[in-house]
Amino acid sequence: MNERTTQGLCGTCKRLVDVRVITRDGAVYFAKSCPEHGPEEHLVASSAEWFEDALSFEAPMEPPRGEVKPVTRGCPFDCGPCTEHKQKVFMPVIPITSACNLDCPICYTVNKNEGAHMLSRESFAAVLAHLTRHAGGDDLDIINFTGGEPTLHPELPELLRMARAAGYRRLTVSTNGLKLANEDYVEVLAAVDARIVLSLDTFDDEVDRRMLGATTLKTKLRALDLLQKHDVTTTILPAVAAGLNDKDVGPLLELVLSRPNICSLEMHTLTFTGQGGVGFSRSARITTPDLHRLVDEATGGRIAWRDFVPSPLAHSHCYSICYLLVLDGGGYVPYTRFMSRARLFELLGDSIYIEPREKVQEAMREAIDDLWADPDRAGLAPGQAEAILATLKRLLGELFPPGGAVSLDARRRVAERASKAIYIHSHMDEETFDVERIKRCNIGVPEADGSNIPTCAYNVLYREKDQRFADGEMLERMAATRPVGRRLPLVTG
Amino acid sequence: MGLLTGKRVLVTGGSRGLGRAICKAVATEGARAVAFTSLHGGGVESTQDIEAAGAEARAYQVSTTDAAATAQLVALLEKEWGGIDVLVNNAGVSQTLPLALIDEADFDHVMSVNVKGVFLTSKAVLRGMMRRKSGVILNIGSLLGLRAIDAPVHYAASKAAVHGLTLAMAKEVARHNIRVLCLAPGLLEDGMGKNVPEHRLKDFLEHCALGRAGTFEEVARFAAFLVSDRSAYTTGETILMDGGL
Repeated sequence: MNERTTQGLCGTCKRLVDVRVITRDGAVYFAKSCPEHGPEEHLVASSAEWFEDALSFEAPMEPPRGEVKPVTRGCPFDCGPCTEHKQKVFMPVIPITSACNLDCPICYTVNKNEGAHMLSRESFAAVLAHLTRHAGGDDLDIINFTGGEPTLHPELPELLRMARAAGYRRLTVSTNGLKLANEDYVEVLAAVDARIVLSLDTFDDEVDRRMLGATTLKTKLRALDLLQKHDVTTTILPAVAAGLNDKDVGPLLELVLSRPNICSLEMHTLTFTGQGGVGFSRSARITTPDLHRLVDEATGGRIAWRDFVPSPLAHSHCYSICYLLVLDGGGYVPYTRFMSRARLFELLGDSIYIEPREKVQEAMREAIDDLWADPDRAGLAPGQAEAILATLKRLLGELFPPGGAVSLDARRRVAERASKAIYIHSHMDEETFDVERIKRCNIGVPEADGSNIPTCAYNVLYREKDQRFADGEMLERMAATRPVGRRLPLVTG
Repeated sequence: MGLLTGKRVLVTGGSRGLGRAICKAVATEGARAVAFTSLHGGGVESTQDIEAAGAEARAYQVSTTDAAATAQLVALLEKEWGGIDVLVNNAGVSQTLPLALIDEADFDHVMSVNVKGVFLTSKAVLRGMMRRKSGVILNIGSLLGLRAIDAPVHYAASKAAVHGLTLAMAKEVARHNIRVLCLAPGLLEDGMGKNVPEHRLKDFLEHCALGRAGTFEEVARFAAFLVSDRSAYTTGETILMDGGL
């Protein structure tokens, strides 16, 4: 039995408690005990092998920029961030409204519709100014707009234009997609080259009702068609729940692979926090290795768990990432079949999502040499090396045509469309909270005052105290739905 | 211990002239096995030279412009030798013609043998070298590709191309621990040097510091040094060997 330790939160009162990381029957659990609420134990990974493998990947962190708070209460209670935080923000996530047109039973955040918060242009300008200052001349890579439901913000297009004018290249909008069934609105978003992160959990209406409290599928499929029609770069984001939509992982992956404008599948493991999640049945708990297994099964082993690597920009257990090269003539192959996992890990070191920068070109060039020199290498099906080389040759022809008339943006687009990504993003809730992970969080929720709170800490601890998003009634309802007395017996190591 | 003890060497155009001298030189420096190609077959003397030096000799009738045949030969040597450590791209042709008489077919032929042949043979051999992360390629260039000298323009162009190919290839495969060099002889007393008109030979000798044409053996010995580990820090260079012109 292998045992590590960390610190986490009491699942009930959220006070800081010591955590023993227990391995049992090949799975990993957090065991902890609150002096007031007693012992508890929660599954954090169904595969200890993956858990340890992920930790074997190490990358240096870059300390946070801008205002950093002194430590007074200790992590995670001094966020903003504090001096204990180890990683700068690579992706700011900005909740521009608390309004939402769904009331999902799985909702892992808090949002109030009555007197809903709408981020003003002035406040957004202040956020942008802080972000730009904190970037200190670095590439202004990406901003994510979220909510509530960000498309309910009447000024979303203008906020996107402001971010574009400030120099941000990739603007993503996390949405339930209901408003995207309106073609005029899709055209507006396409005009500012917004990228859509569409919550699509299932193809089953009954599961849809159980997870989202509504049947949204038809509307979302209409939105997907419009996004394709207007060539909007799209990510499909399901929150995956065991026993509910885990059966949809394969079909969702097929959807991603089948449409050229869909660049990635970003699966979130369901978290049991926020206005819906805190009361949702824990039987739906699913972990990163479970999703690896589902992908493996759905693809007949063409994508295995070792085709995934962590993000170098975060704690190794936060992301598990696989990139696929889409082959001419159909099919795909994980990057890790033609480059090392260490190399893919390195490629992910500049931004959360790989961009076709010099490092990628260099890696592809290496891969071309290696594939050509040794086409029979292990991990490739017969003829696959030739198929990869033919695809890469065609791509090079498109990226660098003899006339040389391709703009940098167009080149970036061609390169991005040549690959598909699978991201497994394991958010934390109060039961699985790991202080070591939050210290390395690279996703921040920035405010107009310059503060920046790591996202899982924000969702679990801070947002519910923000009256723009939560009210007393909501918190009371949440407290009433939190399961008690259902914890597993504490296992001693 | 010779400079090339245990090495497996392939020399194109190795049945006669400079190619034969290179086969002999690398065998003398301890190469374990030396294979050479020739367009028209033959090469009994080369075989005898190689064997006399104690190396395994192999002769193949292959055109370096025939990609399939070249790949087949390289695959055979890879299989039976377990790899090729050194390639010397020596095969080449020239025509002593003024520009006015060089027609398109002449130009294509010279470029095909002198440039495409180097590319095809190098590419075939590089596959294994890259897999093993080791190897040396030596191209035979020419003074005529480097200086403004009365010379057939297609030949000069082809050798200048080989110099450029050497630079780019050296840069590209250095990451695989493979060196690529070019040795550019000046006027030699035999082979193509025999076709130099008398007045040009006189002119050359007048301006050559050493006052004489070079020999195949001199060039071959230097070639053996360049492909040996003694020159391990040299790549991408075209090294002129012209007696001080």
